[in-house]
Amino acid sequence: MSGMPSRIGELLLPARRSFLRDAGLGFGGLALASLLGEESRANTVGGVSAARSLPHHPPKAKRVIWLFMTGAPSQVDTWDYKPELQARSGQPLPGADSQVGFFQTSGKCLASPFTWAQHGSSGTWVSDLFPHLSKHVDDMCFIHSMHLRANNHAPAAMELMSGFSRPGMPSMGAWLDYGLGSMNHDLPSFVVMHERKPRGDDQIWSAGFLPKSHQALAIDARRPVAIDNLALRTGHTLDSQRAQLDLLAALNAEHAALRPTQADLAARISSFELAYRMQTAAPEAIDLAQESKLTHELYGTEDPKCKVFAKQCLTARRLLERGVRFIQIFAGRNAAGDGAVDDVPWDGHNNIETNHRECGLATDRPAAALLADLKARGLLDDTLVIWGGEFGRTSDSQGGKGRDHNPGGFTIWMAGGGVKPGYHYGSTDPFGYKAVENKVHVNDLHATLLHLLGIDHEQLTYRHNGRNFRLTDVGGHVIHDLIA
Amino acid sequence: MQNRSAPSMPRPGQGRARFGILAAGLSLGLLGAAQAVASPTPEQIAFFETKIRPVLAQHCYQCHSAEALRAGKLKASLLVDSRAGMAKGGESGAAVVPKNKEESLLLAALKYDGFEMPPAGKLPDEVIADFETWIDMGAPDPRDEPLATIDERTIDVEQGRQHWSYRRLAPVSPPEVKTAGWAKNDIDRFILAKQEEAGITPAPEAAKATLARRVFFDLTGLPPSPDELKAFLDDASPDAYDKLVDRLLASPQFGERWARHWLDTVRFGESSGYEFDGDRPGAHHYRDWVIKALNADLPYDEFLRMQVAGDLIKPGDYDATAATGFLVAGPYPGQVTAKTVEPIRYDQLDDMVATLGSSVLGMTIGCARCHDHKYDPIGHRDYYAMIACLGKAVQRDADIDPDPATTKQKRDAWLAERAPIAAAHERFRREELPGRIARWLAADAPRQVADSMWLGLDPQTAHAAKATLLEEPGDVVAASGRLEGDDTYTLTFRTHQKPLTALRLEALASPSAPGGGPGTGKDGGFRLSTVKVTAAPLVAAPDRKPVTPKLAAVAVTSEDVGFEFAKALDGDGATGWATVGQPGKDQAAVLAFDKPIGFDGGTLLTVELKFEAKQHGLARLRLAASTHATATDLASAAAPQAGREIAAVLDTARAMGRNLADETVAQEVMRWLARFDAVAAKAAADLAAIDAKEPKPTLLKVYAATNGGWVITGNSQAVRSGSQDVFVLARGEGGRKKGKAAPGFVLATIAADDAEQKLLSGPDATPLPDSRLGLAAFLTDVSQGSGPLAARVIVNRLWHHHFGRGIVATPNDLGTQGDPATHPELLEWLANRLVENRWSLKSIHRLIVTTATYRQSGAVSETGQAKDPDNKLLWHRKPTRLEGESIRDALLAASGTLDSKMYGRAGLDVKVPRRSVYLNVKRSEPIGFLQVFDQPEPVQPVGARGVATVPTQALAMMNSPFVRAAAESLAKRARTTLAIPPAAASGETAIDFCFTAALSRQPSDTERDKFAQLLAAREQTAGGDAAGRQAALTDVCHLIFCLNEFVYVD
Repeated sequence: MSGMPSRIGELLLPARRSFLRDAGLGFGGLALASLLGEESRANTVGGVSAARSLPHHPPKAKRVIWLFMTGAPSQVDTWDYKPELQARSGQPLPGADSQVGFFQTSGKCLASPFTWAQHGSSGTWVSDLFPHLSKHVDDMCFIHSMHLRANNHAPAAMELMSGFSRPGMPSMGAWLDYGLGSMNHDLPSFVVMHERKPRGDDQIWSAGFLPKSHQALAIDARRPVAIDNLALRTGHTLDSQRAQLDLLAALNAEHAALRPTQADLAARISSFELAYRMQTAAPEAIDLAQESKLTHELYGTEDPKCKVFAKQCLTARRLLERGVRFIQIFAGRNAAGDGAVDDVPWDGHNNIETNHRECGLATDRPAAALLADLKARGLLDDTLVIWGGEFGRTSDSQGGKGRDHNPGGFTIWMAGGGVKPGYHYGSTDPFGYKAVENKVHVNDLHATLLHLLGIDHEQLTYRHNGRNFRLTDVGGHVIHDLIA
Repeated sequence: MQNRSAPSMPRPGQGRARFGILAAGLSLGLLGAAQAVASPTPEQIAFFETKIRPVLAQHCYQCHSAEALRAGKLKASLLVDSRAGMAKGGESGAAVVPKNKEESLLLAALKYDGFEMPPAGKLPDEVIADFETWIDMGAPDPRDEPLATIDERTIDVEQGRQHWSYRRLAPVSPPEVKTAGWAKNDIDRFILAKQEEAGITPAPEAAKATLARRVFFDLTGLPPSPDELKAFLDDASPDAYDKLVDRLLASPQFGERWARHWLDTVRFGESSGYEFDGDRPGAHHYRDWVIKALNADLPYDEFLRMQVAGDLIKPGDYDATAATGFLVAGPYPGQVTAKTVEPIRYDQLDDMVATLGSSVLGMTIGCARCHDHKYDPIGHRDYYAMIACLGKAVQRDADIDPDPATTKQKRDAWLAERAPIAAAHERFRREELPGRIARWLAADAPRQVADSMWLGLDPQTAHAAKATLLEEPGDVVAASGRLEGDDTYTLTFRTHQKPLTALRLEALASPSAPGGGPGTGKDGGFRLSTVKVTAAPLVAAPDRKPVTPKLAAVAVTSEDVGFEFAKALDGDGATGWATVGQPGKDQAAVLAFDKPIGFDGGTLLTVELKFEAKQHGLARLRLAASTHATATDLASAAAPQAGREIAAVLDTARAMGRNLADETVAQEVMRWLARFDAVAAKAAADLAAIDAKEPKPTLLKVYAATNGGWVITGNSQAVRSGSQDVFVLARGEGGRKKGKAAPGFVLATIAADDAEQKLLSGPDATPLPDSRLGLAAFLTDVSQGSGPLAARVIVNRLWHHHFGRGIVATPNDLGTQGDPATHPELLEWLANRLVENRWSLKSIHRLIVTTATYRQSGAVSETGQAKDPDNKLLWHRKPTRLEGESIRDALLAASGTLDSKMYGRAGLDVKVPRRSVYLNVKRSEPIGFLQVFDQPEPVQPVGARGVATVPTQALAMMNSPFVRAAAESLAKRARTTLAIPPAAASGETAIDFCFTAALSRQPSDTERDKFAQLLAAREQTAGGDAAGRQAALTDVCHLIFCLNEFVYVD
């Protein structure tokens, strides 16, 4: 954890305490809890559910950044090298299953059109889509045997994020905020970044039935204003606003003193103070002008092929440093817009080569820069980086050169945050078609991620419509083999 | 893939690898056990002990042993730690059948054949081979332990009927209370009795202004206007409050407020969600109906019946149709392929029944999709019986006349106006027409070219995408206007000639065209890239289908190399027919149909001429058709069409024994004759004019439910399944059909088992025509169905919204897992009142808000706080935060900008000054201001909204343009109303005005002083001109809106 956020916290926390004292509020601990945005944390609300205090055990990862490769990259063209598939292009794919894809596939093998080579001391095979990321394979922990149920983008993205392939369920970021609260005092703890919204929109990162205080702050790369209502209105200064807020606090304190049984009144008073601070903290946090030229070059913020993702990754690093716990970046359209709709850029139905080439160019350099940057700053040790799409793609061809959806087997990798470096777990069949060995279901992935963050996935529950819900529903096994 | 325990939520198809999903019918286990080796040899035992038992212990016992059972970790009800357990197997059948490798599910699992065990990874091939050997030798197994008993829960329906909320309604008498005089009605006696029991006294009645603000927001979602407030405060009569309540209950704003509560419970949305989130432009009719129904105090049982089966109860009725929007308001995937149509259909049915369960029955019936409900007496069977009732219901956009009475009135008036004209026409037809035809035919005869192989085609319509097409004498069509090429000409013709074999297209010189024609190009050029001919019947009949013949080039006057006439007929828009360098010269071309065309009763011929690839069109053209077997002639004159058509119509009529007395014959003849006979033309025109005025109802597209096959339309493809059958799915998975599901209900909530058939039958005991009608009866029938439950659920919801917490604090769950009722007798009493009052919801509202309990102040007593800190006994009133919609509406109301227009779609812009209930509910684009104030996601039924306090709310109040604009409007309104001159200071009266408008009270002296100081300071900074005065008062208003008191109502 860098010094920045905790310093801000130290500076501001006593200030708030004295403010409350001065304001004549006698709520003490209660008000402090709500100041920290913890009024609906797992330990305190829905209290029936949280049996043990959180975290349940010392965490290995304190924060997560999930690079979501929207549209679903093909495993056999990225990280899952299959010589058998390369050798038998055009021949029938053994075990070809008409139920796998979303549309129609040929049943015939399609060799990866990319050049493959081994990298790092781990000897990891990587296609030439990733000249930058391939330098970091020794930091990566691969799961080659991911699988899930849904075979279309929106339901699969929801399944990957919430464990359910339908809307209305809380996504992992919301669960974490509910379970662990915030690590900072002036920023939200769950941030989503996107350009064109991925297919499924806000439903993918929804707080579902959890209290709205756990919803993500979504930063749309296309909008000039990143966060709504942060800017002071014209003619107002922080000073003039401060004066008015002081009057507001005094009036609200009088009002609250007469209504001692409604604790939310105190929380609302403090929410104005938090909002006041966010006005300065949030713009500072996302101000890339404060980064050096060298850093900009490392990420490629000027490279037209990858600048959108580069800026998102760099912004994410700044937010992580400032105590944001969970960030998801949904990779937006590739610069050439090849072969896929904007909201699912990796969706190479027509031509896997041209589509994936552009998507590689759009994401490789920034993602590698993020790994290097986090490492250089000592943040990678307790920051978990996750790379992957909502499912994989078929080993047989669709329309000659493309690949259809394939939820039966795909690869994601993680780095930092307590996972084994340079490690490969699970495998698909010799054609990369279906996960066969050490299969990892979404529930298992979630259980493992929660474990890394110090949470027992069976203990993090929320009561809703008559039942205790979990991120992992009724499944999930922690995969200890992945943990360093 | 791990073996999951029985999931308590629907997860169809998720696990391919569970034992539980194997055919449960495999019951060879017992037989197999009998065949097991009676007394295994020591070698066999040794084999088991060395090769089999260690593997089972290491890889299987964790989830499939008596120990796992004790630890609550048993999966799929399968025990493999005893011989008996292996033989009995799990939910899917025997794990091991001695000497039968095929039937031994354990072996299949080890081989990862269809399902996969152990989940951590496939065991080595040698180990699996050992198991095969062992099964072949008869599965010798010395483990004689008796089979542990697994508590396989079966639902005890009779016992389930005893659950408090499932019972028939029982009469309740209000308790005796010690304190006399406090209770205003019986509800208060229930409340007071509990308080007396606990030694608590209720708080005194709230001040009148407080009460006014409370009841206004509660019943209408809006603050009282200063005038309304004053009128109430000035009314000193003892029943002033009761009168106010009556007035508010009768106001249209009541329905707007309470509809929003109901919409929460039914996951109402106006788009489909998932990918694409397509709009449902007709979905708001449901919301409008809810508002109307609540305002009209539609009896709640009728309210429910309409939502479940309105389309069947009153077919074609606007209100009844709109009501069924309830069933189909859920989110549906927008991208569908053949592979997903069935699971999506079951998800739709699940959405319907789960919503019905939560909103109407307060039960989590969705939990029974895969198995019997874990806690409540709701069977797997009940779930499928319920969705079988809904099996035919699908979504549609119905075209509905919202006002058929007016439509009929208009139509009757029109018919009256038409009658004399129709009579005159009739007279003309009978008396004058035959003579006129005969005369005209005689006159026309000389004009007929008897031997022409061509029939000139007289265009009925001619239009182009860009150019203006006008008809000239001699059947010529001339282009003018935008002659820029890249155009499509569409011409239609009528004819009774058949069979038609060929068409002739004449491209005619045009003196007015830039190059003199025939093309519109400067050099008279054109390039005809595509010709399409469609023939459709004029009179529909089942065997008359429109045809599009293939076209072949037959003859042409001139064509360039590479631009032959055939190129216009090849279907390729990039190539075409051209004759370059011949400006001012007529051209012609003949094409033949691959099959002769023409219909009995006449043919509508549509000819489409395309000039694509930015090429020029034709300036003048003419078409002719032929019935000759080989029509090739390019130059000869065509016969005029009218004479031949009249002859053909009369010939045909004669052949069928009809004549001009027949209206259709006469009309067709008059159509042609009218072109030459002014009297006939007028007769036809008079009738056509009145017919053109035929009133058409304004049909609304109403998104609603209807009976139909499964038609699931996505943005990319429409997928249709003819089946309406609903199958019971083992564990909720599509691949595991267990036979057709019969319509029925949740057995524990009906009076007795045989009530199911009673509810599915009409009064004469014959089956209802549609089980959805039975479902409507089930929900509302008090003596046989779940009416008592529905009544308890809704009165609890009303209580929840009036007091901030229900008598049962989980309004969507009155099952065993729901919170216990704080005042169970009161809930029962209210449910009884509702039914007795013919399900009038307003009667219950009135009872509740006129209680002394409701009218208490927020005063805190020490005993109350000590003995009941959660205020469960309602000994005082806690301030409650307004919902986002009310906060927004209150801002608009206080600022004086609220538009009180009702119904329709207000769009997605937060600034539109309509009430929030009318803003669009687009699932992918929630209204930021409402979302930040806890508006729930419209995907699942929500009974009790969360109330979170987050800094983004404060940011919205401080900095959003919407709140600022409201402050500005209020300031302006204050200065205008008080007639403050533009450059004058606002003063304390302005502060009082704004304060009252926003907070329904005058400021205290200290408050007034503080705001006056702020105002003075701001006026000093902003300057003394009109803008400065306005800005300063706006700051004051803005701060008032930020007060806790603005969003918390006492």
